[in-house]
Amino acid sequence: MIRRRTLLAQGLTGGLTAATMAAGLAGRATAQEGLPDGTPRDDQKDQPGVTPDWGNIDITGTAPSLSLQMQATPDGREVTQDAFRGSVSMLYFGYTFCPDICPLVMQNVVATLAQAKDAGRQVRFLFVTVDPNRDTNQVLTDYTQAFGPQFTGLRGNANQLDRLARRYRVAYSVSPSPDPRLYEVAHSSSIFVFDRKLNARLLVPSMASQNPDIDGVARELTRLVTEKPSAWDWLRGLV
Amino acid sequence: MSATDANASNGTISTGLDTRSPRLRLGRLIADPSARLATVVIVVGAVLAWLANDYPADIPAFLPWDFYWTDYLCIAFPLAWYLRGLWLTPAGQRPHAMRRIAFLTGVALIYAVTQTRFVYFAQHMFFLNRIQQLGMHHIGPVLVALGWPGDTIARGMPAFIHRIIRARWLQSVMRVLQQPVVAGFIFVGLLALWVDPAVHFPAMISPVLYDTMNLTMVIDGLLFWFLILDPRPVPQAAHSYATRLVTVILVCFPEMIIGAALSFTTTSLYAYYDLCGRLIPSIGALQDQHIGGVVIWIPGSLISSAAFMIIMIHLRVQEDKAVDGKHRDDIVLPSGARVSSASWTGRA
Repeated sequence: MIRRRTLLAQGLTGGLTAATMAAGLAGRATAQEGLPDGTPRDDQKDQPGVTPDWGNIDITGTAPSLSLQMQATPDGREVTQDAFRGSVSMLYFGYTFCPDICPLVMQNVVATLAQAKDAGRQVRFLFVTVDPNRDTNQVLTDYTQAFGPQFTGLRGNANQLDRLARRYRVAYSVSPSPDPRLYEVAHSSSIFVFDRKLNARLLVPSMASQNPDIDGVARELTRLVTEKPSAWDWLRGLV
Repeated sequence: MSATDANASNGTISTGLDTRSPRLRLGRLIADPSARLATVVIVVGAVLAWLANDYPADIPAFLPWDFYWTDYLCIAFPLAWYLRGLWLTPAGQRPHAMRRIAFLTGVALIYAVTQTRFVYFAQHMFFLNRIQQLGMHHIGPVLVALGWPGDTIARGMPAFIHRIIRARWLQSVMRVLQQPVVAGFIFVGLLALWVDPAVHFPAMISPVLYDTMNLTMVIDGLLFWFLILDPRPVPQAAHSYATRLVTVILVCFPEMIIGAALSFTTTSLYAYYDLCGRLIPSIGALQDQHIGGVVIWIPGSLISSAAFMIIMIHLRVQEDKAVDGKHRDDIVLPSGARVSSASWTGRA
């Protein structure tokens, strides 16, 4: 479920913390009142590389609106964010050779879009490859088309990819090697969801976990597809 | 360069030209060294902004990676004015070399943690984010304050900016912000505000809030450490050495509590780093958080302790001056020769 917290409310919380200074934070450390609504299971605690099950997070008004310049599948022509204006878009950074996380995410996204029925058919899933050297336009086209017509592959040069990843604070790294077993790629597994006016709305982490919130995300996608955009949304989309 | 030249370069002396003519006004503007300096700063900024925006993967790591005009201008103008101020100051009256080194190192450090490729690393590990904030709120501003660059910067800046800074309303605001209780409260309050998990997430993910966070931390760091590390006694300084000693020690305790609270957490508090990706996969969420807590806890306290020592040195030097203790401990030998005590008392 989306946590509807406005920036103002977050600012007020912060102000209160400033007032109570250290006491506020010490209390929070045990009370867990912050953004995360999921706490890691005991067996997940402090295990390197294990992501706790954070719930979906509302990023309306905080993360920047969708802006990109990349080559899109199937024909590899250069597109900007304007190509996706008017549809709800999901932005994901991955690579087609990914052995575990990406297939799991894609499988869960397919299930979510199916669950959202009509609304699911109007969602665009943007698969940005962080490994454009191996993911040629043909490889990316074959990969994305296997999941359905809503899926678009995006690839760009190092600068275009860096610009997009920097905008959404996404970490990725590629350590190429002639030996495919030693070819290492690391990337964040969260999905950014943008509304029809290209405003950032939702951060979905659960698609990479064993317990994906398919119903919850499908509900949120339906809401975003059917909502009436206000003038304020349009204004925010310019930022 | 003489004071008259400095005034002339600030455009305060009438040249007898008809300033109503736009052409002449433009000519005067071009001739004004301050305007030329500002143009250079802005042109360099525009080039850096273009490189950072279009070629983030190609530029070397020391160039701005995530370019913000506000951050750049807040660093570039004071630095340019300082260098110009040094140029305008006669060689014998320039600040001591150690002060110059301290100022330039402090500015370089603030630039490094707010502009360069390090920002990317600090955005993807909590403990690196804490080191970043330590650099921009503690170490950098401490070095800048130790450089005590006020007079030099004032000499290098345009007259109209100097007038704005000397304006009574701004001085009143500064007096309030540099009240020890207010300054200490803001110093710790800002640290607590931005590290609060509910605030930290939007602050990291929103470019506007991220810049606000960094700017408030740098500006507050400068305000606080300029208050604490003022080498002068009262009345030149607004507050006595004793008041400042107490302030710098009192801010330590809440910092220690925040740091310790984070170091001993048993749950992961910062979703942002899990969701946007950690750079070092072998360091898990909790371990990252624990190291981050230690960074707030220990270096923060060390810097307060160092500032305490520095104030004590200022205090001793001033007391010595007050009692004219310069040669009080000299040893006079029977032959009439005298061994100066300066070598062990440090009284110059």
